Amino acid sequence: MSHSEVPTQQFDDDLRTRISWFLSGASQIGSIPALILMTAHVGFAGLASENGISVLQAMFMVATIWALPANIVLIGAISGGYSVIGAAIAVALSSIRFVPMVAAFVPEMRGPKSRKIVLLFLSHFIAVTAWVLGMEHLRNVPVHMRTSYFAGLGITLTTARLPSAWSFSCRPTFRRSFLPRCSFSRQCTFLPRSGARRVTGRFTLPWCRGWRFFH
Amino acid sequence: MTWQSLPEWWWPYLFILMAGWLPTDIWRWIGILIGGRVREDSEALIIVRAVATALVAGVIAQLILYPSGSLAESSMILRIGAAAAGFAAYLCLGRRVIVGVLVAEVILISGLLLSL
Repeated sequence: MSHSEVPTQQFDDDLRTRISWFLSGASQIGSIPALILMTAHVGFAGLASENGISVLQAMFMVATIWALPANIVLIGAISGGYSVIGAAIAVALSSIRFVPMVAAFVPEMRGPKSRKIVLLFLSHFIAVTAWVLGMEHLRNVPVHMRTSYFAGLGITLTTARLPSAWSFSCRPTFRRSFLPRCSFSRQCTFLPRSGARRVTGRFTLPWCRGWRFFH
Repeated sequence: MTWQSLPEWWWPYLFILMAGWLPTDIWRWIGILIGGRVREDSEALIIVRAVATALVAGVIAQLILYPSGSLAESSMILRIGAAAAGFAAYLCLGRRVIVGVLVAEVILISGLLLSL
């Protein structure tokens, strides 16, 4: 009897530790870089709505691409009337930086038993903020718990951006009435009263320099 | 085939997948395949890590040196001074990121309000 119980017990413990490391990674959502990233996505949503991209489309872009410069480049390509191929080339050029970034990140993230398919899945959540947070914190996580930790960190960062992308994609009239007493998320406490347009200018327009280059 | 080519509801999503998701994630996958082949302590990885760090630093430097939007109207000295003061505060006051961010923000915002 005891023989059959031991592996189950171990499996339970292992799962419990994995979940707790996942939650530990997820708690990075309250860190300064994560909050700054949230304000940047509010600005991105403002830019998206000014270019006639719907709320759902903007959220879909954030979820599938998950790199702010690539998102801005794509919006530039859409408003510039690019073909799919042209837009894809512009986005690909802006995303080449992921090769060295991810290559340097893999040894930090993988454990001895990490499967490649898990790493390929998790690589989607690597962008500058998750990269910086991961490089800083992963070394303090037990080796075989690192994928769980980064899954918590990356997946939470990405899903938490979806409401930020939503918040300002609303029509301008709604946006105006919504902004001053927006209480549902903390990001609004960072915003100046003058509103979304100013935030757009401050946080997202610097990234546009990239796509202007391609015009 | 542009964004407005097809009136169907699914076309914009397909466009985002083809022009946004694929050209971005393909580089991440290549990074995983390359990173899986090099040993953790090899010199090649040190170079790769140095390049990756330089890329991140370059993006930040671009934001400080060539901003657009309302920051473009502020003076270069203010932006560099605020960033340098924030970094110095980070180093001197116990290496806490929040201290560095707050000091840099206070200097930048007061500089903007005084229109330096």
